[in-house]
Amino acid sequence: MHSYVLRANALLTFAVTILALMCAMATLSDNFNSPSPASQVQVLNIYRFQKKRDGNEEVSLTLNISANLQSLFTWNTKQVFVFLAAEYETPKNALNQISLWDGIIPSKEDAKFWIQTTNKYNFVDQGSNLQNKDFNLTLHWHVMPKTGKMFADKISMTGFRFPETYR
Amino acid sequence: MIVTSALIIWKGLMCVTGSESPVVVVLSGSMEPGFKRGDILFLHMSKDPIRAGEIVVFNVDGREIPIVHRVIKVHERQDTGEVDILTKGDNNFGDDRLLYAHGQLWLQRHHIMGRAVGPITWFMNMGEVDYMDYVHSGILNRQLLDKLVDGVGLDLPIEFLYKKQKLSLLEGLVRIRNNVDIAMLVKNRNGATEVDIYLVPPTPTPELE
Repeated sequence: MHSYVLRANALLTFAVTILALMCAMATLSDNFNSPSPASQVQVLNIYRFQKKRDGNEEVSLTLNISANLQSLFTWNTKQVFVFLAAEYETPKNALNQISLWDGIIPSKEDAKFWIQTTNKYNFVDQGSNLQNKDFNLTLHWHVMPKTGKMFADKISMTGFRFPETYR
Repeated sequence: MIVTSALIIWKGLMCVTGSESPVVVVLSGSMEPGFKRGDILFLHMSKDPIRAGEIVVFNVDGREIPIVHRVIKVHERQDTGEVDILTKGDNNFGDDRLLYAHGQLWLQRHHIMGRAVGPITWFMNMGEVDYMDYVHSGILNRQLLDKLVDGVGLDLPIEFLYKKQKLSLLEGLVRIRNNVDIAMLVKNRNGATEVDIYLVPPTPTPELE
């Protein structure tokens, strides 16, 4: 190696390789973290349950969501994206997942929370299959690292049911 | 040395992830603060069913730029296993129906290019550049600029704008090249010409119910 260009090239390749290695190590360190999240959800009130003009049923509800996701945070965590999805089955669809609420947790301190909210996104079925149907409420979270692999997990809470009549 | 290694890594990634473009660059701020503009995302496409919460990269028919957003609604058919998907950017107020093709309410699996596996924060985002710099430096698409200067609010879907944004250098250049997303409103305030930049969806709002 005698020319400046060759030397600069070699240096740059080396730097990029080291950077990639550091990113890989950062993400590997996340595997040592064993999280223990906890969560609880209550449906306070289903205040609207109607069939719209196009034949699809719509639900509006208020929820109480509390969770402690502090154990998910590591030094390599940029944020945790958390959302609550209603999951149910209909004759036409093997699985329906509707996100009702989501939030971004930017730091560990904010990861222990309690909120009361109506559904952020409209809850509309493809059809009118919801009367008297059981559904799950699953809290999903998505740990987004500063660098490296994202991982996601969830807690499912069962035992919820749509009302029998419209209101 | 660098070019060869980069090529080897790129082709290797293509094999491993089974995807045509295994790496994408995040172009807009709609997934902030999780993904910032300029971040590099690794994609992976598997046969696993698409579920709510996954971050997917998709192309809307007729648009070149792939979009990286999160799945918020899934309806999967019993018999065929086909899915209807609705996506939304974390940082956006509303879901992506405004971005889909005219009359399209859902995405299907064939629209999805891959799932985002992980980001690398890349310090290519040199901070946000005020658009006034673009106007003055003449980079902007002159045709678009002339059309707007001639008539404020004429025939332009200004009422569909989401929000006023400062764009990073990379995003600004990509959007200008594609000539789809940017409208500028040139106003005369007290004799001085001001330029406001708005992001305008390329298709008008679909008729919902």
